[in-house]
Amino acid sequence: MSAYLVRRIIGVIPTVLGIATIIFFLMYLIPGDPVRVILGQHGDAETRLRITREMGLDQPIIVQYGYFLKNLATGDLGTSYRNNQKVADILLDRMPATLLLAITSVLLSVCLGMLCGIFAAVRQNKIGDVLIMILSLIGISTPVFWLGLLLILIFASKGFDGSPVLFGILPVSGYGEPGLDRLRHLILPALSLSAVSIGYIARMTRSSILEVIRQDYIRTAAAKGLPYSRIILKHALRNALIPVITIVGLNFAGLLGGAVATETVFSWPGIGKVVVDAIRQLDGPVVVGGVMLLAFVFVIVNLIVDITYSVIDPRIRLERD
Amino acid sequence: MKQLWKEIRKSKLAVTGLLVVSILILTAALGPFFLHYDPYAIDLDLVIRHPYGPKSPSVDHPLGTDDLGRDLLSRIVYGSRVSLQVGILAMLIATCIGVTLGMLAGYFGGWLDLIITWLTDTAFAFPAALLAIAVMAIVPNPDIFWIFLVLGLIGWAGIARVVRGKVLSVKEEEYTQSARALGAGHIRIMIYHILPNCMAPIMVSATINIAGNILTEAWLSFLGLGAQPPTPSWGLMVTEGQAYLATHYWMCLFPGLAIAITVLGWNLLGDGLRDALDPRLKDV
Repeated sequence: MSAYLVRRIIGVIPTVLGIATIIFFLMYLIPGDPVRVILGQHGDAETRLRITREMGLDQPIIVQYGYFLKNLATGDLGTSYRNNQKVADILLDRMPATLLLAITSVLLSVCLGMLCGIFAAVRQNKIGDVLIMILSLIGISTPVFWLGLLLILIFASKGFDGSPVLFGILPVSGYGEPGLDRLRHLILPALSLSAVSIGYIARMTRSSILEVIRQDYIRTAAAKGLPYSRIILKHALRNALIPVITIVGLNFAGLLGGAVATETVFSWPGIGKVVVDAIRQLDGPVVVGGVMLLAFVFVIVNLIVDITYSVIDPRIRLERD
Repeated sequence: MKQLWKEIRKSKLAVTGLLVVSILILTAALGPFFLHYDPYAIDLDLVIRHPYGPKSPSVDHPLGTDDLGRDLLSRIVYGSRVSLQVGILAMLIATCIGVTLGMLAGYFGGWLDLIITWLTDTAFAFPAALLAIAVMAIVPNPDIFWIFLVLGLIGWAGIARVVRGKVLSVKEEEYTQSARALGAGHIRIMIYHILPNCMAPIMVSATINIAGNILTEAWLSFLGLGAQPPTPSWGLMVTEGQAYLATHYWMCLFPGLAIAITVLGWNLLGDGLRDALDPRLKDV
């Protein structure tokens, strides 16, 4: 097991390196002058030269790349063009909000998605199954940001006179105070962010259970006279779990991307919001740093998913050892 | 082709999807000929008109107008062109790259296979949506052209993986071996003998790829990183309506609905094609 762990963790390094390299060269290849962004229209030639030197932009590309990697390895993501703050500090400050939103959404989508999937599988081709499958397809096809706006319209919006448009019982946006208020602010963003994942997980759970249910050991369990609920929950679900976990991991990328949109719609002060604000202010280092951080989180989550497989299904670990 | 149509007709999903997609393509192609209003025409006398209803009994603007008095129906119909363009062009780029790499890896095997498989795995581990943000934030003038380029260059991994798997099984078939025995070259075998037998999974992947592209375009445009005003892009239209959500909901509602229906149509078609073309999954 430990050999497997070590190999998997080492295997992450080329991926992270690849992401960093691609982003660096994109920044380099695509025209745009950071010195100009910092100075604006003003600034004489001398200041311009000084800042170019300070930022190391007069060095050859390969040297710049080396510095970029070195800084990255020490957790230095550069300095914001706008307010001279360390990018890493800005991002770390916003990390808890994004994590809260992402983790709530994952939990919500796993619970609801699997519940719907199991229900649909058990009632295959009956009305409940068809309904859930249609709903999950709609969930997958609906743009996250639009769903967020719809939820705001239904549950939060108030007109000019302060009377609710429809229900108007939840806050429109913001982070709220810690405690119950935070929870009230969390409901709508988390719901809109998890809709897509709920759809994917429900579909995957259903098809995975339907596949497993035809196996001999299930028939054996049924022949032994075990109750149906026990067969489904204990024998079928456990073996149907691997594809479901894969989907959870793969979906996480979509979730992080969706978080960018959701945080913007709901003014949720997370990393996604920072990135979008930085895009509007042409603050390159913050955009790149934010994207790198989210990408890194994604890679780590997938690593955890891979390790989870090997815990659930020892064959995976043995196969490669 | 006839066989394919027969299989598709059997699946309700596929037929529904095909219907939605056909209507969309027809709308994009012919819709503009039936419209009375220019989607770019600003009319400040008509700012934020209600959709057809008790408050403004006029059939002129059945979906209402936006904050600049532009007819929403016109903009949504023209928007279908934008989203179809991005969806299909990006799909073509992704499919070309994916099919080429998948064929090479599956057919030749060896070190080429190792490299391509590693590349595919890395691309899979890559959060594509985030990369798209990074690229679109860096390019000097983000617009539709960049979007389909970026989406195309990102989306090939799934197709490559599917094609590789299929090639591995097809290349051992007897007809491939007999072609080889008759002296056919590698390229000839790949194009005439292997590719036709990979068409089913390629079509499924391509259809689902289109759905994803349309969704990502809408999302990037919503963030201001895609189509720029005054382009009638659905994602952009939702952004423009966001400020008026509580008081004039239709500016957000209809463009978003258009995105959802379009993506749903392509997804339905993709699912239906998979059911129709992959007999292994039929009963599941």
